[in-house]
Amino acid sequence: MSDLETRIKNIEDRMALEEVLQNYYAAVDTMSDLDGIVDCFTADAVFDVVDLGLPRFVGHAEIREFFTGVFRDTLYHAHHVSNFRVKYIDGDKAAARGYVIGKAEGKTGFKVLVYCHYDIEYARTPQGWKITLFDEGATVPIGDEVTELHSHAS
Amino acid sequence: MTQAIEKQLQRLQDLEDIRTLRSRYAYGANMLDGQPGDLQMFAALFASDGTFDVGMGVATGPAEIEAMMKELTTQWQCAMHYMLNPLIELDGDRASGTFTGLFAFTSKENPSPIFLSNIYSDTYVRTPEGWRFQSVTIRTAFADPAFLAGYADHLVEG
Repeated sequence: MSDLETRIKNIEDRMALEEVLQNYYAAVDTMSDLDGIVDCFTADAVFDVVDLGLPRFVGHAEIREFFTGVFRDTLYHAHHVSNFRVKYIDGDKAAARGYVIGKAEGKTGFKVLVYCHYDIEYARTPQGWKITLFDEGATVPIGDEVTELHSHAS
Repeated sequence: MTQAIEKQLQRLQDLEDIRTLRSRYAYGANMLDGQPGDLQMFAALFASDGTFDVGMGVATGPAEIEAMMKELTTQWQCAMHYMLNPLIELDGDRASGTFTGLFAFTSKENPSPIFLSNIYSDTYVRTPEGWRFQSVTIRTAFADPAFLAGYADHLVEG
């Protein structure tokens, strides 16, 4: 591969990494697209939201089950993603970090607004880049409101 | 340069141009110190038959869109438009896109911002002047009641 081709591939990879993340949050905000959510992850991916007071999920089935409950119990989600930064691309592995503001309302009327960051690890697969680790934590300290919102989903 | 590289570069440029189009939309729609942005520039972001439908009726073409925006940008001291979560699909000289909008508004009477959010569904067309909006529609995620009250005369049900 020529130097120019390598540089273009690097740009395409960076855009593709962000697109996977945007696809994930877009699917979550549809409140229904379970296939779209799990399609962003490898089959053995780790979805870690322990820092938000929720469990750690492994694999498509556990992630799908969690969001099935989330969609059942929540009126809306709105995730505002910013500050995306690729930490590294190393062959078929990559990692990135960024921020998200999440607002949601449960069907009980319970509302949350959280300021979070995420650390993501990726693997290049035959179907494109997929998330192998999604680790979300609170940037602004929170109480137990996320646990309360998703108490039935988890 | 090989044909494959030219194609890759064109794709990257198209994606960046459409992201920039959406950013120009935000800057045109922003209000600062009670003054609207450049609404003529905003309207020129649309194709000659482009449609603008943000839940307050449909305007078609730059002249109608500029006129509608003049009616909608009269009451805020500050109106900030944040364009987030971009997803763009290219299809030759056409494209579609989804962006999340987060908005913070203040009025002279109430300097504490109210917030709302929507999801834009856009279509774009490549014109001799570059990429332009063919259509803009929204789906509301949430809205402060004060915002809805402020636009009670404009909002269209549905």
